[in-house]
Formats: sequence, C-alpha cells, structure tokens
Amino acid sequence: MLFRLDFNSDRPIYQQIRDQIVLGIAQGSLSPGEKLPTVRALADEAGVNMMTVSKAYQLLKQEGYISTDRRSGTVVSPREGDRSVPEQTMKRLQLALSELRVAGWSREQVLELCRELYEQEGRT
Amino acid sequence: MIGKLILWACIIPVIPLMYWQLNNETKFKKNIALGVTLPYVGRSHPQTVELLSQFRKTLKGVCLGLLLSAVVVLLLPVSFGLALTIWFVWLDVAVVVPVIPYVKYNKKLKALKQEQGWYPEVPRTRVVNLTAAAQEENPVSPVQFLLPLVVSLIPLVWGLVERDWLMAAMFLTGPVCVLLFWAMYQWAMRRRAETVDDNETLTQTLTRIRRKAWRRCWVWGSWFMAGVNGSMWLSLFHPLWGLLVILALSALFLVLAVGLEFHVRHQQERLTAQSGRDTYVDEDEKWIWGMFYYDPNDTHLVVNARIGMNTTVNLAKKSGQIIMGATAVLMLLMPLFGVWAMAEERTPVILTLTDTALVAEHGWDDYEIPLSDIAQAELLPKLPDGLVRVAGTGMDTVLKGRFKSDEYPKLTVCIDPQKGPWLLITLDDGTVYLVGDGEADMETIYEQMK
Repeated sequence: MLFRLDFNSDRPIYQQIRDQIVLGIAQGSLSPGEKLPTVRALADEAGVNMMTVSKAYQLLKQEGYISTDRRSGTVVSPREGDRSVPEQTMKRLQLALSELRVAGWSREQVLELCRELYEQEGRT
Repeated sequence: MIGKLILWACIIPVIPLMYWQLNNETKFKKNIALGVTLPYVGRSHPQTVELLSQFRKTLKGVCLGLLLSAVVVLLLPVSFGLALTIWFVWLDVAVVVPVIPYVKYNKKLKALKQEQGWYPEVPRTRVVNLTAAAQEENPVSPVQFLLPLVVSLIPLVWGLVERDWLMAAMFLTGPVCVLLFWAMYQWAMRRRAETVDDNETLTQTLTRIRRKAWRRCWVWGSWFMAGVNGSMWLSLFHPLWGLLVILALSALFLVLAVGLEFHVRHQQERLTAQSGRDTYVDEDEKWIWGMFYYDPNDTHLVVNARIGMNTTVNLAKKSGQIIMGATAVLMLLMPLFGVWAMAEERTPVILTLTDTALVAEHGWDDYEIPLSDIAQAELLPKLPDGLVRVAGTGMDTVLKGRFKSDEYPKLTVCIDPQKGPWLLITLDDGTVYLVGDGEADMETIYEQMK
C-alpha cells in the first residue's frame, strides 16, 4: 500500500500517517490481521522521526484500528460490527455537519452527500 | 620510472570508470536519466533523445582528453615528489571535470521537463510504501563478518607474540577496518523501499536486489581487508609476493564491486523499462543537479542514492554538510601530500656526533643513538644486499624507517642511498641502525666514534 505525506500541509505528520492507515483499512488495502511495519522500519521508509510514527501508532491503538502483539508485532485489528465511534471522529463529524448547516445545506442534501461519499469510499 | 608507472596505472582506471558510470546515467532506470525523472512518454521524445546523445558525445570527448593528458604528464621528466603532486592534481581534475557536462545536461533536461509539463499528479509529497516497510529484513549473519575478522587477527597476533610493536600496529588496520565495515553496514543500511510506481511486486524486487548488493559489498570489503592484512604479513618475508598479492586483491575487489554496481543498475534498468506510464514517483526537487540530496523534511542523514546501490548524505542536515565539505576539502588538499614529498626528497640527511650520542636527522624525524649503548660500528662502502623497506619512506634521495636486508631482518635506516659510505651500528640489545650523511665526511665521524 502506497501513501503520500505532505510536509507543507498544516496537518501534523503523525495525523497524516494515522489518516492514511485508516483510509487503507477502509478501502481494504490493509486487511484485518495484516502486519504493519515496525516503528523503526516505517520511520526509515517515511524519512520521519521514530517518535512521529510511534505517536501515530498510539493514536491508532487508542482508536482500536490496530493492536500490538508480542509475537506478531503491530497488526490491523479485526473489524467489529459494534465498534463505537471514536470521540475525535464524532467531534470532526459534528463540526463538518455544522459547517454544512451554516452553508445552507438541508438534511436531505447532507444525507445524499454522505451516501455518495460512503459508496465512493467503498468502491476505491 | 617504474614507481611513476605504478602510480599512474592505479589512477588511469578512474577515467573509464567515470565514463562508464556517467554514460550509464543516460539509460533510463526507475524513470530517471541524468538525474531527471521523466514519464514514459518523455523517454522517447526527440528532444530528450537528442540531449542524451549530445551528453554522451561531450562526455566521450572530455574523457579522451583526460586520458591523453595523463599520457603527457606521465612522460614529463620530473622528480618523484613533483610527479606525485601532478598525480594528485590530475586525480582531482579527473573526478570533477567529467561531472561538469553531467550537470550541464541535467539542467537542460530539467528545463525540457518543465517546458513539456512532465510532472506527476501530486508532486512535492513523499511517497511511503507501507507494504515494503513491513517486509522482514534479512540481515547478514554476524558469522560473515566474524570470519574475516578472525583471519585479519592472525598477523596481529603474530606481531604481538614477536613483540614487534610497529608491525602489530600496522596489522591492527585489518581488524579495525573489518569492524568498521560491520558498523558501516549496520549504520548506513537504509531500509527505504525502492518505490518507482504503484507496482508492489516491482518495489519488492528492486528493494531485495539493492539490499542483497549492499550486504555483499560490505562482506566482500571485510574479506578484502583481511586479505590485505595477510599480504602485508607476507611482504615481511617475501616483499615482491606481498605486493603482487595486494595488487591482485585490489584488482579483484574493484572488479567485484564495479560488477555488482553494474548488475544492480542493469536490473534496475530492465525491471523498470515499462514504468512511468501511469503513477510514478518523482523526487527531483530533492536532488540538486540530480546528484546531491537536499530535503529538510527528511530526518535521515544517510539516504539511498537513486540509481545503483550506493548511499549519499542529506545536505539539509548540518552533519551532512560537514561530511560533504570535509570530503571536498580532503580532495582539494590531496596535492599537498605531493608538496610534502617534494620537501622530503630535497631535505638532506644529516648525521651529527655529540658527546653522548650519534644523531641522524631528516626533516621532522631524528634517530638518536646513545654512544654508551653502541656495541659495534662498521663503515660500509656499499649498501647491504637485499635492502627492502618494511615501513617508512623510500625515495631516490632518502631511505628512512624500518627496513630489512638479507643479513639483517630488522634495520632502522636513515640515509641518502646515493651518497655513501654509511655507518652500520649495532647496539648492546641487538638493535641495528644504518645511518649516513650526504655531505659530511663519514670516515671522520667513524674515526671519532672509535
């Protein structure tokens, strides 16, 4: 799986790594149980500090996307149907909805947009 | 003349090597030619083809000119010191001059790229290959370094057992180099994957080829250093054979290392021949003139060179600038070694007899022999048979340091070999000195000593 890091972006690098891994899981590029690189290997590959990768992994662990096992290392967690929405995602979603509401979007328009994006995400 | 021929024989191969390496840069590998990344369509564009062809012609002319200049300066009737100075200056020129057309055509190709708009969709980002990073690394077994280390330790152990501290210090070079190579392999090993496009299998194959070559290179280097240590040991007993073995080992190592680089480049060219049609990686903005890496966002000091198996340093880091700067300064200062040799060969050897000691001086070196320790002194009208240098200076006008001859296995020498006679001094503890003075009356000194 390939992803890109934008060093000119305002979004911190550890957040970009976290986002890209979540995107990979959602798009099926990373399947449940798949092994992720070690912190050092990913830091070497990305040309970033090991602390940056460690921070991204910690965030992903807290959110339940990955888990660490002593024998198999860091792996993608199995998808659970009843997984609760991470607090940060909830906040971002609320903010995005508020922005759309202020922009004059109706409930139906927002739901239609969400449906389109969800289906588009599933196809990629 | 033989010494000069050997010197030039050692550096003349720099030109064919530079020619081969730079000429090879015109063949597209990983979508890159002359340090510029182009899409597949850009490779066969008439202007690209023309620029690459012009570069090849210019490079050929420059290299032929340098070869011709080497022949001319080789035939100049000058002293060894001056020849060495010219040799170093020529080496600097031979390394730098062929790169000038490379830089010129790199700029031209970049201008063409800009003119044609040959850029990927999302430039100025770093591509990260998560799958390749997750691949298990296959490190070299420590045994592969331990074996040459043990072999390189044998001459050192011999030196210690014989209590020959000078030789022991010389034989320390081998084990130290093997340990250094081991450390360099670990430290400079870069795990970054060879991502060219979104083809995972291609990335894995290219990465595997590069890492394998990297491992081999350091292991071979360790065996080479172990061999050099053994050859130095051999040269104590059979100087000619020792020299021949060192030369043979150097030639073998050079052939193997160049062959390995050639193999890696050939594989990179073959495997990426069809790349660049859709998504491809373009990191040109991080490479100054296509050869110097500069990325302030990269935390790494040592990075992979884009083509071949080599590594380079990140010039955006202070330590990278220091390493590159120190290398450049060392290269520029190399001719000073020739100047030093010129001063050495022009400095006379002086022998002084004081009330307590006999002192042989040459430049910064002096050998003080206490008169009370002298057991025997002999005036030699001709040099001992089979006089061979073990460690020290050997020029037409001065021999100094550790030598050996058919009769004496250990001799400390400080003489002008062209101006005899010379004094052979044996001390109470068996130490033997051969000293002389180009200008003084040796017979008078000998009489005074008696």
